[in-house]
This record gives sequence, structure tokens and C-alpha cells, in this order.
Amino acid sequence: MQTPADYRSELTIAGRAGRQGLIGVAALIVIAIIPWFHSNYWISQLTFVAIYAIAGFGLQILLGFAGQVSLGQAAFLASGAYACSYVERLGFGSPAGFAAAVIVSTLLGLLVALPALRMAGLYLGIATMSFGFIIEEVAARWSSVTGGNAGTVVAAIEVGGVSLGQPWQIYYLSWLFCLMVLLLSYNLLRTPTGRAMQAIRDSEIAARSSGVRVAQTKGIAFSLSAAFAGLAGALYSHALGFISPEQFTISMSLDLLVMILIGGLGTLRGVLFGAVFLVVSPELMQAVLGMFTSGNTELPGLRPLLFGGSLILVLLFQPDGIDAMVSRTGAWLIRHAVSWRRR
Amino acid sequence: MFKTLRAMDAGCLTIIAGLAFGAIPAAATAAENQGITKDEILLGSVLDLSGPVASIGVPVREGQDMAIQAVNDAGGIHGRKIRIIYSDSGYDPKKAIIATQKLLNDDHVFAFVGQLGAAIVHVTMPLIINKGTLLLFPNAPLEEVYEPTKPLAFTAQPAYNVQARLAATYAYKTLGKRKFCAFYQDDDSGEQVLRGIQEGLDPFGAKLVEKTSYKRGATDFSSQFARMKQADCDIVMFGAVVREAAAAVLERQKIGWNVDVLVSQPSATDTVIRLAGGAAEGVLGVNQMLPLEMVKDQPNVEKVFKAYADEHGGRLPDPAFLYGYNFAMLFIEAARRAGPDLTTQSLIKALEEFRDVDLSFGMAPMTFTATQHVGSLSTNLLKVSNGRWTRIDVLK
Amino acid sequence: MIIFLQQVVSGAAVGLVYALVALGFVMIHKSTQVFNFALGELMMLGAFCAYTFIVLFALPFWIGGILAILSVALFGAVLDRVLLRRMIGNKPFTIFMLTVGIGFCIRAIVMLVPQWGTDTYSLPSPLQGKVLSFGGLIVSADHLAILLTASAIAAALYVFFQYTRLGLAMRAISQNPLSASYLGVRVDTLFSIVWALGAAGAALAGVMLAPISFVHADMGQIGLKAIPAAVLGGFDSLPGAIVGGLVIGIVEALAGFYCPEGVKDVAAYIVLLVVLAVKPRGLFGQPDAKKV
Repeated sequence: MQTPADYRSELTIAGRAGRQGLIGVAALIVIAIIPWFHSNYWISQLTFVAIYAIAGFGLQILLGFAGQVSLGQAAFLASGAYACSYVERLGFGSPAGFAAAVIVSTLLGLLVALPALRMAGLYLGIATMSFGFIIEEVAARWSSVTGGNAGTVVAAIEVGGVSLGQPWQIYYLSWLFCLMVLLLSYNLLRTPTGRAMQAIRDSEIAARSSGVRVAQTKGIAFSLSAAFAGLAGALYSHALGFISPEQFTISMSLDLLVMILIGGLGTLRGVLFGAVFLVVSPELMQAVLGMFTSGNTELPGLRPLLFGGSLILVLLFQPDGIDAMVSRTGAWLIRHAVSWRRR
Repeated sequence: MFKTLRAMDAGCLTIIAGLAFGAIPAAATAAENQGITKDEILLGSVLDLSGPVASIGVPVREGQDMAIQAVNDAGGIHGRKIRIIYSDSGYDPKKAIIATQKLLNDDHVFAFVGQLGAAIVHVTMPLIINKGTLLLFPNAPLEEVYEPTKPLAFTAQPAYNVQARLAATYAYKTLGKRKFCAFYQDDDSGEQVLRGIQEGLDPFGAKLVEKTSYKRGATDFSSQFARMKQADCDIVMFGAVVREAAAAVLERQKIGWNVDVLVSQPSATDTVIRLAGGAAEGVLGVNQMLPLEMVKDQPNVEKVFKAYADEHGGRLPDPAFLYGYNFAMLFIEAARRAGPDLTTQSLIKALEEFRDVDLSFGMAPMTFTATQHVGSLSTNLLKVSNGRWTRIDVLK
Repeated sequence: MIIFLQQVVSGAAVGLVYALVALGFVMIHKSTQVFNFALGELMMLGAFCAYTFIVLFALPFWIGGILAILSVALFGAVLDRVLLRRMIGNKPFTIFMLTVGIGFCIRAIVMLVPQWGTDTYSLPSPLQGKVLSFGGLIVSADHLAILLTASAIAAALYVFFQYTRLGLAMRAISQNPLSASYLGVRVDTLFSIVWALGAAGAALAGVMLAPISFVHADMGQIGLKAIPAAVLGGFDSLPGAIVGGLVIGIVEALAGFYCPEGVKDVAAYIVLLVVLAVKPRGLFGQPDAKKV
């Protein structure tokens, strides 16, 4: 994976920036016009793509860039969702709710970072997994704040007296946040902190020997990933209208990991591809199956088979994920387009 | 090698892109009606077909399908056949909400029948009602469905806490129990039972002596039972679901504690006897639906079960089949009474004129009025005798 | 006092189930450096195979059980040869995610098999319902069987690793596969054997647990509880796995009895975090020495 060192040098290399920019703008246009053409169902599905992508960017920073394994991201989504809904219930409005979501999750992330500094790999993964289980139980028992097992209904977003409850409104808001987080992550890579993270991922001891402030950098990685997850959680709670402890389980944490891996570990584009895969592929599978079988059979076990099977296939044959597939195909197409023009 | 990889990449991506573009417009063009056409009534049902309560969801679907098939084969209702679309919630509220929205906004169903799961109904009911669509006979004994009365929501079953209240009252007054313990699942349905028990004991000034909980999926209940045994209760009321209830009953036998056990509706089913075997002897339970073994010899039931056995290799359906069959039959009966001009309002009107309508399929007679949208507030008190559930009493 | 002891005994019984699965985790990790997340699902597969042989094919319990364990062991070896083999050299995390994918697939396939599906089945053992009493302490025969089996296996494994050539070879590949292969050890075959043994251990746990917890597709959750047990003892220590399992089981039982509700469900994880905070490599773990 390339480590960008300088804006200008990156731009001069092969002049790819122009092309990347065009594709980015095209994607933005597609995202913007979708609500005009599709049903509410698809709008809400694509909203979840944005929400998962936000959480995914956080996980990518932590795992793909800083190399820290976390099996408990769902805990930060939960803290964000519950913090937001609690603050909103107290009557402080949605902006305060979202701010609370990010702040609470960041603090929680810092809390996790402290012991995490001493652990690596397997042990860190299991520790974060345990943390996830504990937060899940806290959500179930702390009824005064979370509503306990019955969950809590989440009202529509309220900004300055204006209610943003329509699916398309939440859609745009989520994608707006997604874009912001994407840009933040992209820029993070270019900063010394971002490079420090990657150095830690590649070899912690070498990084430390080169003067990288390992503890500080890891702390930033954990807090940032938790902050993004908290934001995603707040959006999630409004997109769904209801949150309960049963949603923030290890299943969600694993789904996020699967998403990152299939999309492409260590790339930002991969997060978006992975999020699209996570939401759209079960739909595709249902559509394809519907063509072969009559009736509306939703066989149990197909969803885990789809994710597990895709994960295995990707890891065996295409470990760099969809992102690599797209890059290679894109490069191949361009090479042939160029050679065509030469003729 | 590189050539093949490129071809593979491009091939995969093209297939995915093509399917994506093909599937999305397909989902966008949906039927533009209210679920009723000249020859069809479209129903929706969000069940758990793959998750923790799939063992209930799958038989419920079988029951619904069988009832609907029978009526369709006989020509339908006033010339309309019933078509029902199922969605799998996996007992995940998120999936349930998305599935419900899809059935509402894309498929435009006329009504939701048999929606499964307290948590699921809790979150999807507002969605359904706010869209002006009917929520009929969910498989979720939830008080908020009928209390306060909502024009578009009808249910056949009293809520978990209502049944628990009746059960606790019965245990206090009739069985003379004074030291109550509760063993409940750490989720919404379990907590509702807990609430009901306390509601039942309050008028007598009695309180729970001990309560213990477990997380769904737990396999070891030794510490919970040790605690309750130490509290020396004379009855343990369960707010548990089938698997854990059976394991808990086995635990009770293991520690040799002869305390009475009264289980809530989800566990007052034949499956618990099948799993717990002899340890279930003497266990009490409440269930609004009569157990399979008790109704299977009725002529009309026998016919249906035989048809089922023919299709499923000679075996009897799961007890949850009765819910599916009965609730679908309720809809069919109401639609029949509503007449050829079937609309949401005409169906509501027909339902609100039900007086002691008895389908004779294990369910209590149903009565609906403009102010009571729950078909029956009574429940059966059952007891396991000689390896079978038998009815002891009817609690009102 | 007797109540306290009873909780300890009951907890130890459950803990040994965790220990059996934890042994599988540790064995595979020790030799192949792979954290096999799918072990819980392999345990479930073992229970379903036992159900098929014993209930559906009406074989005697012991024969059905052994057949089930052998089938799953074979499956484990096949998994290694077909899938894991291709991942050698990859980052540990990537291989871990492969096992996550495998776990998903196993669970999915179990749910799709018509005779299995999502239903719950009982698997009666010959010891069903029998209970032994030791001066006021009650132990169910099933649990006692687990205790004896786990001890026997632990002893057998110890002897195996200390005194047999195969065990020595496995210890060699766990320390340095490359030099072991230079010395003539068939590393790839041994990998498959280790996977077979780990899977067999999990399947055994499944067969022993099934009479108590019934057979159903969500049984793999218990694998999640066994992970703290494995880590507690140090992920590369076989005796540590057993100690870890016992500790977790006993802590859970005591928490269930003495602590407020809900603590029992997370007690295992709280204990784990506390231990890791003090000893980041588990109780008996060796600190990692890495070449920079």
C-alpha cells in the first residue's frame, strides 16, 4: 500500500488525480440522485451503506492502518446510539445528541486504548471482544438510560425545530457525514500521525526505534475509530427508529470486519465497496434465488453462507479485496483504451 | 496467470454490476395497489425463520400456508385468492423493520398477519399503523397491541404479563402458594412475565422471594436454582423459552428439588416435554392455545393433521402450527364476513362484530368489539400428566 | 459452606466443558499459530453428527459418539488440507478471518440440512438423569463423565507431547516449523493431524454437552465462552487451558449465586480483562519473542 508523503508528489505521479477526481464526482452525483429514482426501501438500505461505511472507516484506521485488531466495534456504535438517544430524550436536541455520541464513544475508546497498549494481535482481539460483551450487558441492565432489554424508540432528528424524519433526509445526512469522514481519513493518511500508524502496523519495534510515539499514536487510532463508530451509531439509531441491546452484538462487530476484508484491507475505497457488499449482496442473493425457486422462501442459513463463503473466496483468491479487483480491472481497461487510441 | 486473473476480476465485477442494476429497478417497480385486486388479497408476514425462535416461526408459517391453501383450493374468499409474502426477521429488530417497510412500501400488502416476536411487533406496529395498514393477530402476546385499543390492530392473545398475572393469582389463591420465585430470560419477553407476576401478587400484598435470570443461549442454571432453593420457594414461575425451560426443568430434577413449576406460554408446549422427558412430569403452564395432543383427535383437526402428515413424512406438526393455522383462519373468517367489497374498513367492521366465534381448532372463542381488540382475555391452565399436557382450568 | 462448595463443584463441571473446547483452541494455536474461531461450530457439528448417528441411525451412544468425533476430526483435517494450507505465510489476522468465514459456513450448512435445520433436539445419554451425591454435594453423572474425560484427555495429551515422537515433532513445529522441516519432520501432515485433534476435542465436548444443553444450531456460542478460558491460561499452554476453563466455570457459578443478576453472563469476560491487565499473556503464557 502506497504511503503518500507529499500532496504535490502524489499529483505528479501518473497524473491519476484527475481521473480519480472525475470518478469521485461521478459517484457523488449518483449518490445524490438516487432518492429521486428508487423506493423508500432502497433509500433506507443505501443509508445503511453510508452508516456502515462510517463505522468501517473507523475500523480501517484502527485495523488497516494502525494494525490493531478490534473485535468489539459494536460497543462503540452502541455507546454512540444510546448516548445520542439519551441526550435527545432529555430534550437537548439532535446536534447535542450527536455531539454526545461522538464524545462518549471517544472517551470509551480512550478507556479501551489504555490496557490495549500492552496487548497485541490475538490477545487484543479477544480483549476487545470481551469488552463488547460487557457493553452489551450494560446496555441491557442500565434501564434508566438505555431502556434495558425492551430497547428504546428513537424519535426523528430535530435540528433547530426542523424535523428530519423522512428517509431521504436521513439518507443525505448520512452520506454527508460519510463524505466528511472519508475526507478526514484520507487526510489523516498524509499526516505524520497517519504515517506513524502505518509504521506501527508494519513493525512496532522499528517504529518505536525510529522515534514514533507509539502510545500516543495508538491512543489516537482507538479514539478516532471509536468516534467514527459513535457517529455511525447515532445515525443508525435514527435510521432504524429503535435500538436495543440485541443489535449491538458480536455479530455486528464481525460484520464490520467481514466488510473491511472483502472490500479491501488497508484501503479507503475498500470500505465503501465492503459496505455496499454488506448491504446489497443479501438482496442480490434473494433476487437470484427468487428467479429459480417459486414462492418467497427465505431459507435460514443463506445469509451466513453468503458472507462466510464470500469471505473465504476473497481471502483465498483475492486477499486484497474488491478494491484490488476494481483497480486491476480499471487499469486493464485504461491500458486497452490507451492502446486503442494509439492505433 | 495474469490474464486469467484479469478476466476473472472483470468477469466477477461485470456479473455483480449487472445483477445490481438488474435487481434495483426490479425492486423499484412494485404493485401499485392496496393489496386487494379483483382476484387477489395480498398479505404480509414477518417471521423468524432462521434465528433463535425459528422453531416457532417455521411451524407458524406451515400453519398459515395450510389454512390459506385450503381456502384457495375451495375457490378463495368471494372469488379472491389469498397470497402471502413472508419475510425472515431472524428475530433481529433491524431486519424486521426493513422487511416491514418493504412489505408496506414496495409490496403494498393489505394486512400483516401473524407477525412473530414481541420485540418485532413492538417496533413494527407503529410503522404499520401509521401507514393505515392492518396489523392482525400477531404471534406476540404484547399488551400494547390492544391496550389502548387501536383501530387497525387486532390480536387474539392476552399479553404475557396478563397471563402471568392470572397464573400468579391462581397459584396464590387456588394452590395456596406463598413464597414465589421467578426464573426469567434476560430479555423483553422474560421481563414482561416478571412484571405480570408482580402485578398478580400485588393485590395480596405478596412479593417475590427471589428472582433469577439467564441470558438466552445459556446452558447452565445450577447457580440460579441453587439460589432459589436456598430462598426456599414453594413455586418457581418461569419466564423462559422452550430450550432453556427444558434444561432448567432438568436442573430442578438433578438437584432433587421438588418445587412446583409454572411455565409461561412459550414453554407450555409439547416440545418441552420432548426435550425434558420425565423431568417435566407435574409441571404447570399457561397457554391460550390448547396443546396439540389435546386437540388432535377432533375430526376437523385430524383431517388437517393427516394432510400435513402426508406432505411431511407421516409426522405431526409442531405445536406452533396451531397458531399459524388459527390466526390465518381468523383472517379468512373475517374477510368472508366482510363480503365482496373488501376494504380495510369493511374488515374492521366485520371483526368488531365477532361474538364468541369458535374455530374449534384449539383456540378460545373470539370476541371483538369497538373497544376490545383482543379476542380473548382468558388462558388455559395446563399440567403435564403422564407425559402429556392436560387442561386443569381456564383462567379469566 | 456446603452451598459454596456445591457452586464450586457445579462450576467446575461446566468449566471442564469450556476446558475441552479451550484445549482445542490451544492445541491448534500452539502448533500452527492459527486462532481457529470456528471451533465452536465444530463442536456443534460434533453434536449434530452424534445426534444423527445415535438418534436417527439408532446406534448405541458410545459407537455413535466415537463415529461423530471421528467424522469431525476428518472434517478438521480436510479443512486444513483444502483451505488452511493455501493460507500459510499470511498474516495471523487474515487466517483468523478465514476461520471466521469457515465458522459462518458450517453454521449455515447445518441450518440448511433438511434433517437438522433450526430445530432443537435432545440427545439422551446413558447417564441421563443419574445423579451422584457426595455427602451433600450433588454432581450429575453427565458432569462427572465430563470431569473424568477431560482429566483423561489432559493426561493423555501430556504423555503424548512429552514422551512420544509425534508429540515431540509437534512441539518442534510449534517452536520453529522451518527448522523442524529441515530436520525431516513432515510439517504439513502434522498440521492436518493437529487440526484433526483439535476438531476431535471440540466434537467430544459437543457430544458430552449435548445431553445437557440439547442439540441446536446455536450451540457454537459456547465456543465464545471457551475463548476466555483459553486466553486466561495463556494461549499456548495446555494445562493453562484446563485451569482457565475451571476458573471461568467456577467464577461464573459463584457470580450467579452471590452477585446481582446479569453479572454471571459477563463474569467470564470481566475476569479475563482483569487477568490480561495484570498478565498480558495469560496466567501461564510465555512472552512473545520476535525477531525484529
